Amino acid sequence: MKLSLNWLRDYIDLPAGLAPQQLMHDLTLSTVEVEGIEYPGRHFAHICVGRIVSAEPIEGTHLTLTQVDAGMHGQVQVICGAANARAGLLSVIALPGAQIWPKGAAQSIEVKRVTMRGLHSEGVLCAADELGLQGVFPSGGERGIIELEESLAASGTDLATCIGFDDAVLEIDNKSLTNRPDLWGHYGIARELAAIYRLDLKPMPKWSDLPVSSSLLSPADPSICPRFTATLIEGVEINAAPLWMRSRLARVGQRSIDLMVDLTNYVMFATGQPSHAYDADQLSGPLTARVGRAGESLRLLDGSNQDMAGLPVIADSHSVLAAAGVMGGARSGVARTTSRIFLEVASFSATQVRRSSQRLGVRSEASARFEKAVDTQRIDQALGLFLTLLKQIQPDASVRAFQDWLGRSTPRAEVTVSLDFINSRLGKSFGAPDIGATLARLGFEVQEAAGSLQLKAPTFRSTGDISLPADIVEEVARLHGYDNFTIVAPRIDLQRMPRNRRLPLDRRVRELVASVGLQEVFTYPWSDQAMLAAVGTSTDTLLELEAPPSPEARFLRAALVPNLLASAANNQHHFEDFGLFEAGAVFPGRTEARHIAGLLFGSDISALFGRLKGVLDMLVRKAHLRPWTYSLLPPDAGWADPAVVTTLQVGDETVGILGRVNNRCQRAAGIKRGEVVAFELDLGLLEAHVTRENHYQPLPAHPQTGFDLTLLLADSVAWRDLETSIQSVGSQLRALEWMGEYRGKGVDAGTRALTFRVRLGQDDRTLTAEEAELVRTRILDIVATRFAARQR
Amino acid sequence: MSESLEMIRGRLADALSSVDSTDAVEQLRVEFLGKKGAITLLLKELGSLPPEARKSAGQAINELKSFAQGAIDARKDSLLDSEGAGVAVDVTRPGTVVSPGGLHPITQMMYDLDDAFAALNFEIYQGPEVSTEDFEFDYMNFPPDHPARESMDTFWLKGAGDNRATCLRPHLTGGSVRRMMQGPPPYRFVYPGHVYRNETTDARHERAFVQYEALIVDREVPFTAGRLLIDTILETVFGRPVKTRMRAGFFPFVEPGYEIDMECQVCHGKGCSVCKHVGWLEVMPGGVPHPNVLRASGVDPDQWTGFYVNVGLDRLVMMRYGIDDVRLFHGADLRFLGQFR
Repeated sequence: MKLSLNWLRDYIDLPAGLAPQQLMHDLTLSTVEVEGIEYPGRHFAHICVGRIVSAEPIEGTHLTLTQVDAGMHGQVQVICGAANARAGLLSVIALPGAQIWPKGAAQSIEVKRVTMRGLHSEGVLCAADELGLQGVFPSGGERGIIELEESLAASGTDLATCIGFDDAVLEIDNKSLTNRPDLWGHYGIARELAAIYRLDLKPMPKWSDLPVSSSLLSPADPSICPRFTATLIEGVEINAAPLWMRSRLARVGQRSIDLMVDLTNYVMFATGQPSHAYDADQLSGPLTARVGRAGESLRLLDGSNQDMAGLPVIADSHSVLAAAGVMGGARSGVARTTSRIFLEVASFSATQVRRSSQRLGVRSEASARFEKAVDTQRIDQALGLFLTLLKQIQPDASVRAFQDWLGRSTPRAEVTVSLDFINSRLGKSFGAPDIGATLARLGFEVQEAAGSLQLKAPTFRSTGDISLPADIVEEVARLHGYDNFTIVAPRIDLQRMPRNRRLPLDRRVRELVASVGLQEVFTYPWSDQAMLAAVGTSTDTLLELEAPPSPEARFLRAALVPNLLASAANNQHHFEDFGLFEAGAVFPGRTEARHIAGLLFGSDISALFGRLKGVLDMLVRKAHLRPWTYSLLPPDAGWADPAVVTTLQVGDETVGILGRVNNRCQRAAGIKRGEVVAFELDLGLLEAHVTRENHYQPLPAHPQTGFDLTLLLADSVAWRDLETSIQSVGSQLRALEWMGEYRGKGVDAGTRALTFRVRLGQDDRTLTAEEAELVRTRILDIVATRFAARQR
Repeated sequence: MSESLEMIRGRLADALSSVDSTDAVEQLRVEFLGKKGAITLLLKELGSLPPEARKSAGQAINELKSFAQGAIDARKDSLLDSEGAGVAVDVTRPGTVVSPGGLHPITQMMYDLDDAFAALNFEIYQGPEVSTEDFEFDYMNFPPDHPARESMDTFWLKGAGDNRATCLRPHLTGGSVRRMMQGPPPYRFVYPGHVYRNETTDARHERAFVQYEALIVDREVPFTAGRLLIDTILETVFGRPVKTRMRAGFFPFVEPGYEIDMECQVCHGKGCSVCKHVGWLEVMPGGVPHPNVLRASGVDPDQWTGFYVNVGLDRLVMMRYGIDDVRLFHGADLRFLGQFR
């Protein structure tokens, strides 16, 4: 919303010397956010009022050679192409140095002295659009130069000054106004300024003694329209609004149409109360506000055809005239020839207007205001201003009939609040007179009794804005200025430490996984449907978005790995090998769980698998988890290659999975080459297994001995089976340690060379070399018998 | 004999000055002090001297022996250092990458904030991401016909709940009520997490982003105490004190409500294109929890009051590092994510 500072000055005498920047700052801190200031007069340097003294056609052209009296700038010769350039016309001249916008030009150009056909031209007589003033001078026509009223100003007067553009226009952030229906007009903002600067607000003009009628309206539906006033005005001439009004409207961004439309707009920008002027000759029978009936439709002023069934409408006895509070219909306009106006100033239900505006897909200045809940009493202010202005502009216009239909008037909100409450919330001691004076400027009625303030809010603050003691605290604080309070640190009493296992585990696991070469990523909480299909997740058990960001992303993810695969595909062209992980919410079976998943991308599948398994083993130790076992139970994850997968079990509980991503899912994710190994852990389940229970093992009293062995083994022999079998060699065996495996040259296909270290020891003495050799022989016997393995 | 001692001393000195390895020095030790070394032999010969000569000869030989030991050790020490690694090492070569990867920049910032608030005795809370209309709107004091409910930017879920409308949480604030319902006041907690809005994405808009919320509820919390929350957040994020200001702002769940601005970190308040020449940037809403919100949480608003702030971490992290596109945060691009520390 735009606010003209000059307009505000109608209602309040602002402090002398108050800079617009300061006002912007003060209003921003206390009331609403001012996003910027424009100075509309800035564009009009070297542009002034000029009277054409003489105008001679230039032979063989459509041009006119004019002499223009530019007052203190002297007499100026101008070659002009406008058809309406004639002697005696008071127009606008741009002198050298001025900026104008020629028709069709993307940028402004500077006016210079030019010579054409040997004739000097020392300025430009301007059309409205060359100055960006088509809103102020809409009737100037396409070709013509501006025609000013005779009495407007003397030649040489600055254009900006004489059309009121020596102004500052504040741009208000509408979002900061949503809870303040009283601020949607200049008068409301002036009231705030009066409170901020402790000044008096000037009263708005009132009206009285209107000839009351009962035939203009039939009873309205009070759930739509709590109050409806109709005023029949005769003797009106539909011509242009006066220049000052057109200029003000232009400055706040509203184009001038004709006197009636401009007047209703002006009153709305002044008071925040929309109204509508109908051509009385076009109406049949009394008007009312009601719910649209089945089959009723309306062609709106914006040209759209709308079904009005079930929506609030204004109708006469013949048909629907307007979408109430939103926009008029084609039949609601005013013909130029009419002299009789039917003025509707009414209140409409905020909920109904919002619903209607949404259904129609139409937002207007009126609907924006009614949606915020305008009080019924505002009508009086709007009507007073409308009639006063009309009388000034057209003294012959007169009110013939007036009807005021009232369903329910806005009651004043009443709040009782103690001084102690206000002061403890604010950490400051205000006195009752102080607070009372501030609130009175805002329109509150204040009564003090025994440390308590009994307040009656003004009706314009009573439609939902003010209702609680906390609301009063806010009024006092914001007008004192939030920055004028001393900062107090809150007192903190130590309490029992909150017991929370989940977050420390979550953080520790993420930090650990990040520390061993995997990069954390964020993905969306939904999964691509093609990916879900590849993974084999049934969408029946998934949560589904009502309005998904894209049709493929309808379902919330049940696991993290599928999205991580897509992330891996994004990175495959930039890196040869990499690791990714994510910790986040998943929704399997429509319930929320928290998982962590990671993957390694590279080329050597067994190295990748080994490394990722090492990451998981490291988690057990460093995240203080009860160790899991790697089971060969079939996994519950469609992305895993059944030949290379293991599930993580703690007791009977499956807490995670580790495996190679199968070819199908790699392809579905768009992974073109390489190998991917992934894991996924349920952090919620692991929470129960966080433990630091750990037992000390005494150090061996005698040195251990041992040896390395490399065996040639069939691929079908698992390390775990080998390990279990070798255990039977006896109690001198202290540990078997995997060292590495080799496949390839010198090793038959389907077999591998597996190297491991055997550690031996005995509690009461050091083993001899002969004893160690004996163990070695026995191990070789065992593996030869059980696995047909031999030493390499 | 005394000449012979002088000769040995001279020979040893010459030999030591000409050797260039610790191994060669070790050989000299054997040559002079070993079992059959020159000095050892002299000591063995002592017995054959007449008794009156033995004492002085013995002293001279022992002097020579300690001289020899000292000279050999000194030479060995000096050679030991000069021998170094024995292999040329290019000290300008790059370090071997021990471990790429790391935490997401937003997670890093979140943990920094968690640590800062933990030091202020704040609890860290986490709530569910799928929530219900009652928590997200009813308890938040949004009137039944408030446009935010109807607006399309909440990700509503298809009939999932037990008659309650469910959604991906559009803000964290509803979850604060969940925490308050768990037990009686006072409360002092922070609440980080992902939130979701159905927006058209561009360089400044994302569908998923991370908020960080802090809430104090106590018997007396003057609103200026809330400044501690604001200052803790901004100082942690930017690594230095940041000037802030509070101004009137409206949100249904707070009364009074504030908009909190921070001094533009690009121009330091002078006005620039980043702050639209205002010198300030709007960074977070804050305020006193609305009595209806406290009531919905089972907290008596006549007894308890509080202060709340909620900040979008994405935007702060963008300002902190000069990131110009919010979509990078959910883009999972390692070239981007690997840049932060």
